[in-house]
Amino acid sequence: MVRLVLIVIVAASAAGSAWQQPSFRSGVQTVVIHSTVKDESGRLVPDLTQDVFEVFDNGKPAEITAFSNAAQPITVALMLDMSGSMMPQLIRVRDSTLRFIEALHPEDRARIGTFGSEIALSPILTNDKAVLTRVAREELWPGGGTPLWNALYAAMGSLAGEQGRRVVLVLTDGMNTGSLPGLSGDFGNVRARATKDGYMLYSIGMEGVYQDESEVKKYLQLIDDTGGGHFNVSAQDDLQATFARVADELRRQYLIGFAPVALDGKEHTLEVRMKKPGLRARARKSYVAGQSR
Amino acid sequence: MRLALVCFAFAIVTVPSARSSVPTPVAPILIDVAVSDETAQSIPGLTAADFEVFVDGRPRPIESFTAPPAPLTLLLLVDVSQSMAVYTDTEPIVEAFASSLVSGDRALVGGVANRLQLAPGLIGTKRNVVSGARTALNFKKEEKSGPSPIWDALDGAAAFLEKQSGRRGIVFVTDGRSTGNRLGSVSAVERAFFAGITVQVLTEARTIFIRQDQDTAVRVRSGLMLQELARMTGGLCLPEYKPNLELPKPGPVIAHLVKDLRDRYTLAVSPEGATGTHKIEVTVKRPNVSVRARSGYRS
Repeated sequence: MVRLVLIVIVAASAAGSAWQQPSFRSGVQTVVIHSTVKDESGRLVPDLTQDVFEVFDNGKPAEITAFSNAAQPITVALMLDMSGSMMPQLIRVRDSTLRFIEALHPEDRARIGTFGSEIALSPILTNDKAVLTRVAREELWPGGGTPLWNALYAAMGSLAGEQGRRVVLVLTDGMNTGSLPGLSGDFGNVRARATKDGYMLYSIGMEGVYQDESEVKKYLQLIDDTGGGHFNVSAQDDLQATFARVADELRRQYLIGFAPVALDGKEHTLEVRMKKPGLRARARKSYVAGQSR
Repeated sequence: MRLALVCFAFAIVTVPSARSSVPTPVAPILIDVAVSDETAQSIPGLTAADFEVFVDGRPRPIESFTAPPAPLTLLLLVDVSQSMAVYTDTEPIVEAFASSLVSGDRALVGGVANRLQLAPGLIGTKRNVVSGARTALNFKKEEKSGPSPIWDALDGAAAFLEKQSGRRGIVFVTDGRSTGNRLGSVSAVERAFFAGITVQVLTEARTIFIRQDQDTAVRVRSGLMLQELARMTGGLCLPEYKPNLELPKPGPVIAHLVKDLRDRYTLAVSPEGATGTHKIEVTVKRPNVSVRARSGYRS
Protein backbone atom coordinates (compact mmCIF):
# COMPACT_ATOMS: atom_id res chain seq x y z
CA MET A 1 0.00 0.00 0.00
CA VAL A 2 2.85 2.33 0.88
CA ARG A 3 4.51 1.58 -2.41
CA LEU A 4 1.29 2.17 -4.30
CA VAL A 5 0.98 5.63 -2.80
CA LEU A 6 4.58 6.38 -3.70
CA ILE A 7 4.02 5.44 -7.30
CA VAL A 8 1.10 7.84 -7.50
CA ILE A 9 3.16 10.63 -5.95
CA VAL A 10 6.02 10.11 -8.35
CA ALA A 11 3.66 10.13 -11.27
CA ALA A 12 1.93 13.24 -10.00
CA SER A 13 5.18 15.10 -9.57
CA ALA A 14 5.75 14.86 -13.27
CA ALA A 15 2.37 16.27 -14.16
CA GLY A 16 2.49 18.94 -16.78
CA SER A 17 4.93 17.04 -18.95
CA ALA A 18 4.02 14.54 -21.60
CA TRP A 19 3.86 11.96 -18.85
CA GLN A 20 0.33 11.44 -17.60
CA GLN A 21 -0.54 9.90 -14.33
CA PRO A 22 -2.11 6.46 -14.59
CA SER A 23 -4.97 5.85 -12.21
CA PHE A 24 -4.60 3.11 -9.63
CA ARG A 25 -7.54 1.64 -7.82
CA SER A 26 -7.16 2.23 -4.12
CA GLY A 27 -6.97 -0.81 -1.85
CA VAL A 28 -5.86 -3.23 -4.57
CA GLN A 29 -2.34 -4.63 -4.85
CA THR A 30 -1.10 -3.59 -8.25
CA VAL A 31 1.76 -5.08 -10.20
CA VAL A 32 3.14 -2.68 -12.76
CA ILE A 33 4.59 -3.85 -16.05
CA HIS A 34 5.87 -1.92 -19.05
CA SER A 35 5.21 -3.32 -22.46
CA THR A 36 6.63 -2.60 -25.89
CA VAL A 37 4.27 -3.25 -28.79
CA LYS A 38 5.46 -3.73 -32.34
CA ASP A 39 3.75 -4.59 -35.58
CA GLU A 40 4.74 -7.34 -37.98
CA SER A 41 7.41 -5.18 -39.58
CA GLY A 42 8.99 -4.45 -36.20
CA ARG A 43 7.76 -0.87 -35.94
CA LEU A 44 6.67 0.52 -32.60
CA VAL A 45 2.92 0.94 -32.29
CA PRO A 46 1.88 3.90 -30.15
CA ASP A 47 -1.48 5.17 -28.89
CA LEU A 48 -3.16 1.83 -28.27
CA THR A 49 -5.88 1.65 -25.67
CA GLN A 50 -6.33 -0.66 -22.72
CA ASP A 51 -8.96 -2.81 -24.37
CA VAL A 52 -6.49 -4.38 -26.82
CA PHE A 53 -4.27 -5.73 -24.02
CA GLU A 54 -4.60 -8.93 -22.05
CA VAL A 55 -2.45 -9.93 -19.10
CA PHE A 56 -1.99 -13.53 -18.01
CA ASP A 57 -0.66 -14.27 -14.54
CA ASN A 58 0.50 -17.89 -14.22
CA GLY A 59 -1.56 -18.55 -17.32
CA LYS A 60 -4.76 -17.08 -15.88
CA PRO A 61 -6.29 -13.80 -17.10
CA ALA A 62 -5.61 -10.93 -14.70
CA GLU A 63 -7.66 -7.80 -14.34
CA ILE A 64 -5.97 -4.68 -15.70
CA THR A 65 -6.34 -2.04 -13.00
CA ALA A 66 -4.17 0.72 -14.41
CA PHE A 67 -3.11 1.76 -17.86
CA SER A 68 -1.23 4.56 -19.56
CA ASN A 69 -0.24 5.03 -23.18
CA ALA A 70 1.41 8.40 -22.52
CA ALA A 71 5.08 8.99 -23.27
CA GLN A 72 7.05 7.87 -20.26
CA PRO A 73 10.15 9.39 -18.70
CA ILE A 74 13.31 7.32 -18.65
CA THR A 75 15.28 6.42 -15.54
CA VAL A 76 18.34 4.60 -16.78
CA ALA A 77 21.73 3.40 -15.68
CA LEU A 78 23.85 3.46 -18.82
CA MET A 79 26.67 0.94 -18.48
CA LEU A 80 29.53 1.29 -20.93
CA ASP A 81 31.92 -1.57 -21.55
CA MET A 82 35.45 -0.18 -21.30
CA SER A 83 37.23 -3.53 -21.61
CA GLY A 84 40.34 -3.76 -23.74
CA SER A 85 38.45 -5.07 -26.75
CA MET A 86 36.33 -1.91 -26.79
CA MET A 87 39.36 0.36 -27.21
CA PRO A 88 38.93 0.78 -30.97
CA GLN A 89 35.38 1.97 -30.26
CA LEU A 90 36.26 4.52 -27.59
CA ILE A 91 35.49 7.70 -29.47
CA ARG A 92 32.43 6.20 -31.10
CA VAL A 93 31.09 5.16 -27.71
CA ARG A 94 31.88 8.48 -26.07
CA ASP A 95 30.37 10.55 -28.86
CA SER A 96 27.25 8.41 -29.01
CA THR A 97 26.88 8.69 -25.26
CA LEU A 98 27.13 12.45 -25.53
CA ARG A 99 24.41 12.45 -28.17
CA PHE A 100 22.28 10.20 -25.99
CA ILE A 101 22.66 12.69 -23.16
CA GLU A 102 21.83 15.57 -25.44
CA ALA A 103 18.63 13.82 -26.53
CA LEU A 104 17.33 13.17 -23.01
CA HIS A 105 14.07 14.88 -22.16
CA PRO A 106 13.81 17.16 -19.13
CA GLU A 107 11.94 14.54 -17.11
CA ASP A 108 14.43 11.76 -17.91
CA ARG A 109 17.22 10.85 -15.53
CA ALA A 110 20.41 8.94 -16.23
CA ARG A 111 23.40 7.59 -14.42
CA ILE A 112 26.58 6.70 -16.32
CA GLY A 113 28.73 3.75 -15.36
CA THR A 114 31.64 1.88 -16.86
CA PHE A 115 33.02 -1.60 -16.46
CA GLY A 116 36.46 -2.97 -17.26
CA SER A 117 39.27 -2.84 -14.75
CA GLU A 118 36.69 -1.52 -12.26
CA ILE A 119 32.93 -1.26 -11.93
CA ALA A 120 32.56 2.49 -11.82
CA LEU A 121 29.06 3.85 -11.41
CA SER A 122 28.61 7.56 -11.13
CA PRO A 123 26.95 8.44 -7.82
CA ILE A 124 24.83 10.96 -9.69
CA LEU A 125 21.46 10.07 -11.20
CA THR A 126 20.35 13.26 -12.83
CA ASN A 127 18.67 15.08 -15.67
CA ASP A 128 21.45 17.68 -15.59
CA LYS A 129 23.03 17.34 -19.00
CA ALA A 130 26.10 19.33 -18.01
CA VAL A 131 26.86 16.87 -15.22
CA LEU A 132 26.27 13.84 -17.44
CA THR A 133 28.42 15.36 -20.15
CA ARG A 134 31.20 15.99 -17.65
CA VAL A 135 31.07 12.35 -16.56
CA ALA A 136 31.13 11.11 -20.16
CA ARG A 137 34.08 13.35 -20.98
CA GLU A 138 36.14 12.76 -17.83
CA GLU A 139 35.41 9.25 -16.69
CA LEU A 140 35.78 6.84 -19.61
CA TRP A 141 39.04 4.93 -19.23
CA PRO A 142 39.61 1.89 -21.40
CA GLY A 143 41.20 -1.31 -20.12
CA GLY A 144 40.53 -4.53 -18.27
CA GLY A 145 38.21 -7.46 -18.85
CA THR A 146 34.44 -7.70 -19.13
CA PRO A 147 32.91 -8.23 -15.69
CA LEU A 148 29.44 -8.11 -17.22
CA TRP A 149 27.47 -9.75 -14.41
CA ASN A 150 29.18 -7.63 -11.75
CA ALA A 151 28.32 -4.58 -13.82
CA LEU A 152 24.65 -5.47 -14.32
CA TYR A 153 24.25 -6.40 -10.68
CA ALA A 154 25.81 -3.14 -9.50
CA ALA A 155 23.83 -1.07 -12.01
CA MET A 156 20.54 -2.52 -10.83
CA GLY A 157 21.59 -1.94 -7.24
CA SER A 158 22.29 1.70 -8.03
CA LEU A 159 18.63 2.13 -9.02
CA ALA A 160 17.24 0.22 -6.06
CA GLY A 161 15.84 3.29 -4.34
CA GLU A 162 14.08 4.60 -7.43
CA GLN A 163 10.38 4.34 -8.05
CA GLY A 164 8.73 3.48 -11.31
CA ARG A 165 10.37 1.89 -14.31
CA ARG A 166 14.07 1.21 -13.78
CA VAL A 167 16.17 0.49 -16.83
CA VAL A 168 19.74 -0.69 -17.21
CA LEU A 169 21.12 -0.12 -20.70
CA VAL A 170 24.40 -1.88 -21.34
CA LEU A 171 26.72 -1.29 -24.28
CA THR A 172 29.15 -4.15 -24.74
CA ASP A 173 31.04 -6.17 -27.32
CA GLY A 174 31.49 -9.31 -25.31
CA MET A 175 30.32 -11.72 -22.72
CA ASN A 176 31.38 -11.98 -19.11
CA THR A 177 35.06 -12.75 -18.67
CA GLY A 178 35.00 -13.07 -14.90
CA SER A 179 34.33 -11.19 -11.70
CA LEU A 180 36.35 -8.46 -10.08
CA PRO A 181 37.72 -9.18 -6.60
CA GLY A 182 35.13 -8.99 -3.87
CA LEU A 183 32.20 -8.02 -6.07
CA SER A 184 28.83 -9.72 -6.03
CA GLY A 185 26.91 -10.75 -9.06
CA ASP A 186 26.95 -13.87 -11.20
CA PHE A 187 24.35 -14.74 -13.80
CA GLY A 188 22.05 -16.26 -11.20
CA ASN A 189 22.25 -13.20 -8.95
CA VAL A 190 21.57 -10.89 -11.87
CA ARG A 191 18.58 -12.87 -13.02
CA ALA A 192 17.18 -13.12 -9.51
CA ARG A 193 17.53 -9.39 -8.85
CA ALA A 194 16.02 -8.48 -12.21
CA THR A 195 13.05 -10.80 -11.69
CA LYS A 196 12.41 -10.08 -8.03
CA ASP A 197 12.72 -6.32 -8.24
CA GLY A 198 11.46 -5.78 -11.77
CA TYR A 199 14.43 -4.21 -13.56
CA MET A 200 14.32 -3.87 -17.32
CA LEU A 201 17.55 -4.68 -19.15
CA TYR A 202 18.45 -3.32 -22.56
CA SER A 203 21.57 -4.18 -24.48
CA ILE A 204 23.42 -2.74 -27.43
CA GLY A 205 25.77 -5.37 -28.76
CA MET A 206 28.78 -4.01 -30.60
CA GLU A 207 30.09 -6.26 -33.31
CA GLY A 208 33.11 -7.93 -31.89
CA VAL A 209 34.02 -10.70 -29.64
CA TYR A 210 30.87 -12.55 -28.69
CA GLN A 211 32.54 -15.85 -27.97
CA ASP A 212 30.44 -18.58 -26.50
CA GLU A 213 27.11 -19.05 -28.26
CA SER A 214 25.44 -20.57 -25.23
CA GLU A 215 26.55 -17.59 -23.11
CA VAL A 216 25.15 -15.19 -25.67
CA LYS A 217 21.89 -17.10 -25.76
CA LYS A 218 21.65 -17.02 -21.98
CA TYR A 219 22.33 -13.27 -21.98
CA LEU A 220 19.75 -12.50 -24.64
CA GLN A 221 17.18 -14.68 -22.89
CA LEU A 222 17.78 -12.74 -19.69
CA ILE A 223 17.17 -9.46 -21.48
CA ASP A 224 14.04 -10.83 -23.09
CA ASP A 225 12.74 -12.09 -19.76
CA THR A 226 12.97 -8.61 -18.25
CA GLY A 227 10.91 -7.14 -21.08
CA GLY A 228 13.91 -5.23 -22.40
CA GLY A 229 15.47 -5.33 -25.82
CA HIS A 230 18.68 -6.11 -27.62
CA PHE A 231 20.12 -4.25 -30.60
CA ASN A 232 23.09 -5.43 -32.63
CA VAL A 233 25.40 -2.79 -34.06
CA SER A 234 28.01 -3.49 -36.70
CA ALA A 235 31.09 -1.40 -37.31
CA GLN A 236 29.24 0.41 -40.09
CA ASP A 237 26.03 1.06 -38.18
CA ASP A 238 25.15 4.36 -36.64
CA LEU A 239 25.50 3.88 -32.90
CA GLN A 240 23.85 7.20 -32.17
CA ALA A 241 20.79 6.09 -34.09
CA THR A 242 20.69 2.90 -32.07
CA PHE A 243 20.77 4.84 -28.82
CA ALA A 244 17.91 6.94 -30.19
CA ARG A 245 15.94 3.79 -31.03
CA VAL A 246 16.34 2.52 -27.49
CA ALA A 247 15.21 5.84 -26.06
CA ASP A 248 12.26 5.95 -28.42
CA GLU A 249 11.23 2.44 -27.50
CA LEU A 250 11.43 3.23 -23.80
CA ARG A 251 9.32 6.34 -24.17
CA ARG A 252 6.63 4.52 -26.10
CA GLN A 253 6.16 1.68 -23.71
CA TYR A 254 2.72 1.08 -22.25
CA LEU A 255 2.27 1.06 -18.52
CA ILE A 256 -0.07 -1.68 -17.40
CA GLY A 257 -1.08 -2.38 -13.84
CA PHE A 258 -2.87 -5.57 -12.92
CA ALA A 259 -4.17 -7.30 -9.85
CA PRO A 260 -2.23 -10.50 -9.19
CA VAL A 261 -4.20 -13.72 -9.00
CA ALA A 262 -2.52 -14.73 -5.74
CA LEU A 263 -0.12 -13.02 -3.35
CA ASP A 264 1.82 -16.16 -2.54
CA GLY A 265 5.35 -14.74 -2.55
CA LYS A 266 6.30 -17.05 -5.43
CA GLU A 267 7.61 -16.35 -8.90
CA HIS A 268 4.74 -16.17 -11.38
CA THR A 269 4.89 -16.34 -15.14
CA LEU A 270 3.59 -13.28 -16.89
CA GLU A 271 2.37 -12.78 -20.42
CA VAL A 272 0.97 -9.76 -22.22
CA ARG A 273 -1.11 -10.62 -25.29
CA MET A 274 -2.62 -8.39 -27.92
CA LYS A 275 -6.22 -8.80 -29.01
CA LYS A 276 -5.48 -6.92 -32.20
CA PRO A 277 -4.05 -9.13 -34.97
CA GLY A 278 -0.57 -8.41 -36.24
CA LEU A 279 0.65 -6.87 -33.00
CA ARG A 280 3.13 -8.37 -30.57
CA ALA A 281 3.71 -7.25 -27.02
CA ARG A 282 6.97 -7.62 -25.16
CA ALA A 283 7.10 -7.37 -21.39
CA ARG A 284 8.80 -9.02 -18.48
CA LYS A 285 7.99 -12.70 -18.31
CA SER A 286 7.81 -13.18 -14.60
CA TYR A 287 7.41 -11.42 -11.30
CA VAL A 288 7.40 -12.35 -7.66
CA ALA A 289 3.83 -12.11 -6.33
CA GLY A 290 3.75 -9.89 -3.32
CA GLN A 291 6.10 -7.38 -4.92
CA SER A 292 4.32 -4.35 -6.27
CA ARG A 293 6.93 -3.64 -8.96
CA MET B 1 41.36 20.21 -21.02
CA ARG B 2 44.25 22.38 -19.94
CA LEU B 3 42.92 25.32 -21.84
CA ALA B 4 39.52 24.90 -20.26
CA LEU B 5 40.98 24.80 -16.79
CA VAL B 6 43.18 27.82 -17.30
CA CYS B 7 40.25 29.72 -18.69
CA PHE B 8 38.13 28.74 -15.73
CA ALA B 9 40.76 29.82 -13.27
CA PHE B 10 41.56 33.13 -14.81
CA ALA B 11 38.56 34.09 -16.85
CA ILE B 12 37.03 36.15 -14.11
CA VAL B 13 38.68 39.47 -14.83
CA THR B 14 37.25 42.24 -12.74
CA VAL B 15 37.65 45.96 -12.70
CA PRO B 16 38.60 47.64 -9.41
CA SER B 17 35.50 48.27 -7.39
CA ALA B 18 34.85 51.41 -5.40
CA ARG B 19 36.84 51.14 -2.18
CA SER B 20 35.26 51.56 1.19
CA SER B 21 36.34 54.67 3.03
CA VAL B 22 37.19 52.54 6.08
CA PRO B 23 40.15 50.26 5.34
CA THR B 24 39.59 46.65 6.36
CA PRO B 25 42.60 44.53 7.30
CA VAL B 26 43.09 41.74 4.80
CA ALA B 27 45.18 38.61 5.12
CA PRO B 28 48.30 38.57 2.97
CA ILE B 29 48.64 36.08 0.16
CA LEU B 30 51.21 33.45 1.07
CA ILE B 31 53.18 32.02 -1.80
CA ASP B 32 55.38 28.96 -1.30
CA VAL B 33 58.09 29.07 -3.94
CA ALA B 34 60.33 26.23 -5.07
CA VAL B 35 63.57 27.29 -6.73
CA SER B 36 65.73 24.62 -8.31
CA ASP B 37 68.76 24.35 -10.54
CA GLU B 38 69.20 22.48 -13.79
CA THR B 39 69.60 19.20 -11.90
CA ALA B 40 66.31 19.73 -10.07
CA GLN B 41 68.11 20.39 -6.78
CA SER B 42 66.73 23.10 -4.50
CA ILE B 43 68.78 26.30 -4.34
CA PRO B 44 69.37 27.50 -0.77
CA GLY B 45 70.50 30.86 0.53
CA LEU B 46 68.23 33.18 -1.46
CA THR B 47 66.92 36.40 0.05
CA ALA B 48 63.81 38.47 -0.56
CA ALA B 49 65.84 40.64 -2.90
CA ASP B 50 66.24 37.70 -5.26
CA PHE B 51 62.50 37.43 -5.87
CA GLU B 52 59.95 39.38 -7.84
CA VAL B 53 56.20 38.81 -7.55
CA PHE B 54 53.71 39.88 -10.19
CA VAL B 55 49.97 39.89 -9.64
CA ASP B 56 47.95 40.15 -12.81
CA GLY B 57 51.19 41.19 -14.51
CA ARG B 58 51.94 44.06 -12.14
CA PRO B 59 54.88 43.92 -9.67
CA ARG B 60 53.89 43.66 -6.01
CA PRO B 61 56.08 44.40 -3.00
CA ILE B 62 57.11 41.40 -0.91
CA GLU B 63 55.87 42.16 2.59
CA SER B 64 57.43 39.25 4.37
CA PHE B 65 59.90 36.54 3.52
CA THR B 66 60.65 33.19 5.16
CA ALA B 67 63.63 31.09 4.13
CA PRO B 68 63.54 27.31 4.32
CA PRO B 69 63.24 24.94 6.00
CA ALA B 70 59.74 25.26 7.36
CA PRO B 71 57.59 22.73 9.20
CA LEU B 72 55.08 21.04 6.96
CA THR B 73 51.47 20.00 7.25
CA LEU B 74 51.15 17.13 4.84
CA LEU B 75 48.59 14.68 3.58
CA LEU B 76 49.73 11.60 1.67
CA LEU B 77 46.85 10.55 -0.57
CA VAL B 78 47.21 7.08 -2.07
CA ASP B 79 44.96 5.63 -4.76
CA VAL B 80 44.55 1.93 -3.98
CA SER B 81 41.77 1.24 -6.47
CA GLN B 82 41.77 -1.80 -8.73
CA SER B 83 42.99 0.14 -11.77
CA MET B 84 46.37 0.86 -10.14
CA ALA B 85 48.83 -1.43 -11.85
CA VAL B 86 52.36 -0.43 -10.75
CA TYR B 87 52.35 1.38 -7.42
CA THR B 88 50.21 -1.24 -5.74
CA ASP B 89 52.57 -1.91 -2.84
CA THR B 90 51.83 0.97 -0.49
CA GLU B 91 54.41 0.04 2.12
CA PRO B 92 57.46 1.70 0.50
CA ILE B 93 55.34 4.76 -0.29
CA VAL B 94 54.21 5.19 3.30
CA GLU B 95 57.66 4.33 4.64
CA ALA B 96 59.36 6.95 2.47
CA PHE B 97 56.75 9.54 3.36
CA ALA B 98 57.02 8.91 7.09
CA SER B 99 60.82 8.86 6.95
CA SER B 100 60.82 12.27 5.30
CA LEU B 101 59.07 13.92 8.23
CA VAL B 102 61.06 15.95 10.75
CA SER B 103 60.30 17.45 14.11
CA GLY B 104 57.55 20.04 13.86
CA ASP B 105 55.87 18.44 10.87
CA ARG B 106 52.31 17.18 11.06
CA ALA B 107 51.02 14.57 8.69
CA LEU B 108 48.38 12.02 7.93
CA VAL B 109 47.60 9.47 5.26
CA GLY B 110 44.45 9.10 3.20
CA GLY B 111 43.42 6.19 1.00
CA VAL B 112 41.28 6.36 -2.12
CA ALA B 113 39.28 3.37 -3.25
CA ASN B 114 35.58 3.91 -3.86
CA ARG B 115 35.77 6.71 -1.27
CA LEU B 116 38.29 8.77 0.67
CA GLN B 117 39.39 7.29 3.97
CA LEU B 118 41.58 9.45 6.21
CA ALA B 119 43.71 8.29 9.11
CA PRO B 120 42.51 9.76 12.40
CA GLY B 121 44.04 13.21 12.87
CA LEU B 122 47.30 14.92 12.10
CA ILE B 123 50.27 13.33 13.83
CA GLY B 124 53.94 14.08 14.02
CA THR B 125 55.88 10.88 14.49
CA LYS B 126 56.93 8.40 11.89
CA ARG B 127 55.56 5.46 13.85
CA ASN B 128 52.15 7.04 14.25
CA VAL B 129 51.96 8.01 10.59
CA VAL B 130 52.73 4.44 9.54
CA SER B 131 50.19 3.14 12.01
CA GLY B 132 47.54 5.60 10.77
CA ALA B 133 48.27 4.57 7.19
CA ARG B 134 47.28 1.00 7.98
CA THR B 135 43.82 2.28 8.85
CA ALA B 136 43.55 4.71 5.96
CA LEU B 137 44.64 2.23 3.33
CA ASN B 138 42.61 -0.68 4.59
CA PHE B 139 39.74 -1.21 2.18
CA LYS B 140 37.62 -4.22 1.40
CA LYS B 141 38.20 -5.89 -1.96
CA GLU B 142 34.83 -4.74 -3.27
CA GLU B 143 35.67 -1.15 -2.37
CA LYS B 144 38.85 -1.37 -4.45
CA SER B 145 36.94 -2.91 -7.39
CA GLY B 146 34.50 -0.03 -7.46
CA PRO B 147 35.00 3.47 -8.84
CA SER B 148 38.04 5.68 -8.22
CA PRO B 149 36.67 9.11 -7.30
CA ILE B 150 40.07 10.77 -7.14
CA TRP B 151 38.70 14.27 -7.65
CA ASP B 152 36.25 13.90 -4.79
CA ALA B 153 39.11 12.55 -2.69
CA LEU B 154 41.37 15.45 -3.61
CA ASP B 155 38.61 17.86 -2.70
CA GLY B 156 38.13 16.11 0.64
CA ALA B 157 41.85 16.19 1.35
CA ALA B 158 42.09 19.88 0.46
CA ALA B 159 39.01 20.64 2.58
CA PHE B 160 40.77 19.04 5.52
CA LEU B 161 44.04 20.88 4.94
CA GLU B 162 42.56 24.29 4.23
CA LYS B 163 41.56 24.50 7.89
CA GLN B 164 45.19 23.99 8.93
CA SER B 165 47.83 26.67 9.23
CA GLY B 166 51.40 26.74 7.93
CA ARG B 167 52.85 25.29 4.77
CA ARG B 168 50.42 22.69 3.50
CA GLY B 169 50.88 20.10 0.84
CA ILE B 170 49.28 16.99 -0.60
CA VAL B 171 51.41 14.16 -1.97
CA PHE B 172 49.11 12.31 -4.32
CA VAL B 173 49.87 8.84 -5.69
CA THR B 174 47.44 7.84 -8.43
CA ASP B 175 46.99 6.62 -11.99
CA GLY B 176 44.69 9.53 -12.82
CA ARG B 177 41.84 7.28 -13.96
CA SER B 178 39.04 9.14 -12.25
CA THR B 179 35.59 7.58 -12.07
CA GLY B 180 32.49 7.87 -9.90
CA ASN B 181 33.11 11.47 -8.84
CA ARG B 182 30.49 13.85 -7.54
CA LEU B 183 32.76 16.71 -8.49
CA GLY B 184 34.43 17.41 -11.76
CA SER B 185 38.18 17.74 -11.99
CA VAL B 186 38.04 21.52 -12.26
CA SER B 187 36.04 21.92 -9.05
CA ALA B 188 38.41 19.66 -7.15
CA VAL B 189 41.54 21.38 -8.43
CA GLU B 190 39.98 24.73 -7.58
CA ARG B 191 39.79 24.02 -3.87
CA ALA B 192 43.49 23.18 -3.53
CA PHE B 193 44.41 26.01 -5.86
CA PHE B 194 42.48 28.70 -4.03
CA ALA B 195 43.51 27.43 -0.59
CA GLY B 196 47.17 27.72 -1.55
CA ILE B 197 47.83 24.03 -0.98
CA THR B 198 50.64 22.63 -3.09
CA VAL B 199 49.85 19.28 -4.69
CA GLN B 200 52.77 16.99 -5.51
CA VAL B 201 51.94 14.02 -7.72
CA LEU B 202 53.57 10.66 -8.22
CA THR B 203 51.69 9.05 -11.04
CA GLU B 204 51.71 5.84 -13.00
CA ALA B 205 49.48 7.49 -15.59
CA ARG B 206 50.29 6.42 -19.10
CA THR B 207 49.72 7.95 -22.46
CA ILE B 208 48.30 5.45 -24.89
CA PHE B 209 47.44 5.76 -28.52
CA ILE B 210 44.41 3.77 -29.64
CA ARG B 211 43.57 3.26 -33.25
CA GLN B 212 39.89 3.97 -33.95
CA ASP B 213 39.79 3.35 -37.67
CA GLN B 214 42.11 3.49 -40.66
CA ASP B 215 42.55 7.24 -40.41
CA THR B 216 42.09 8.04 -36.76
CA ALA B 217 43.93 7.34 -33.54
CA VAL B 218 43.05 8.75 -30.18
CA ARG B 219 45.56 9.71 -27.51
CA VAL B 220 44.40 8.89 -24.00
CA ARG B 221 46.28 10.73 -21.25
CA SER B 222 45.09 9.97 -17.76
CA GLY B 223 47.92 12.12 -16.42
CA LEU B 224 47.00 15.31 -18.21
CA MET B 225 44.80 16.71 -15.47
CA LEU B 226 47.31 15.68 -12.83
CA GLN B 227 50.00 17.69 -14.59
CA GLU B 228 47.67 20.65 -14.66
CA LEU B 229 46.82 20.19 -10.99
CA ALA B 230 50.49 20.24 -10.06
CA ARG B 231 51.28 23.19 -12.30
CA MET B 232 48.46 25.33 -10.97
CA THR B 233 49.27 24.68 -7.33
CA GLY B 234 53.03 25.05 -7.80
CA GLY B 235 53.71 21.34 -7.41
CA LEU B 236 55.54 18.68 -9.34
CA CYS B 237 54.05 15.82 -11.33
CA LEU B 238 56.53 12.97 -11.55
CA PRO B 239 57.80 11.18 -13.45
CA GLU B 240 57.72 13.52 -16.40
CA TYR B 241 56.21 11.80 -19.40
CA LYS B 242 58.54 10.29 -21.95
CA PRO B 243 57.84 7.57 -24.50
CA ASN B 244 58.75 4.10 -23.17
CA LEU B 245 59.22 5.51 -19.70
CA GLU B 246 60.10 3.01 -17.02
CA LEU B 247 58.43 4.06 -13.82
CA PRO B 248 60.85 4.80 -10.95
CA LYS B 249 60.70 3.17 -7.54
CA PRO B 250 58.26 5.19 -5.46
CA GLY B 251 60.32 5.72 -2.30
CA PRO B 252 62.94 8.13 -3.65
CA VAL B 253 60.31 10.08 -5.58
CA ILE B 254 58.17 10.52 -2.48
CA ALA B 255 61.21 11.66 -0.51
CA HIS B 256 62.06 14.15 -3.26
CA LEU B 257 58.51 15.52 -3.33
CA VAL B 258 58.49 16.10 0.43
CA LYS B 259 61.95 17.70 0.32
CA ASP B 260 60.79 19.95 -2.49
CA LEU B 261 58.00 21.20 -0.23
CA ARG B 262 60.30 21.72 2.72
CA ASP B 263 62.93 23.64 0.74
CA ARG B 264 60.51 26.34 -0.38
CA TYR B 265 60.66 30.03 0.34
CA THR B 266 57.48 31.65 1.59
CA LEU B 267 56.69 35.13 0.29
CA ALA B 268 53.77 37.26 1.43
CA VAL B 269 52.15 39.96 -0.67
CA SER B 270 49.08 42.08 -0.13
CA PRO B 271 46.10 40.96 -2.15
CA GLU B 272 44.70 42.99 -4.98
CA GLY B 273 41.69 44.98 -3.88
CA ALA B 274 39.39 43.75 -6.59
CA THR B 275 37.26 40.72 -5.91
CA GLY B 276 37.97 37.83 -8.20
CA THR B 277 40.70 35.53 -9.37
CA HIS B 278 44.18 36.91 -9.86
CA LYS B 279 47.17 35.49 -11.64
CA ILE B 280 50.44 35.15 -9.74
CA GLU B 281 53.87 34.94 -11.29
CA VAL B 282 57.10 34.65 -9.34
CA THR B 283 60.54 35.14 -10.83
CA VAL B 284 64.06 34.83 -9.40
CA LYS B 285 66.78 37.18 -10.51
CA ARG B 286 69.31 34.44 -11.20
CA PRO B 287 70.17 32.62 -14.37
CA ASN B 288 69.27 29.02 -15.12
CA VAL B 289 66.83 28.47 -12.31
CA SER B 290 63.43 26.90 -12.35
CA VAL B 291 60.69 28.53 -10.25
CA ARG B 292 57.42 26.93 -9.20
CA ALA B 293 54.65 28.57 -7.19
CA ARG B 294 50.88 28.69 -7.08
CA SER B 295 49.66 30.34 -10.24
CA GLY B 296 46.85 32.39 -8.75
CA TYR B 297 44.56 33.23 -5.87
CA ARG B 298 41.04 34.43 -5.29
CA SER B 299 40.32 37.53 -3.25
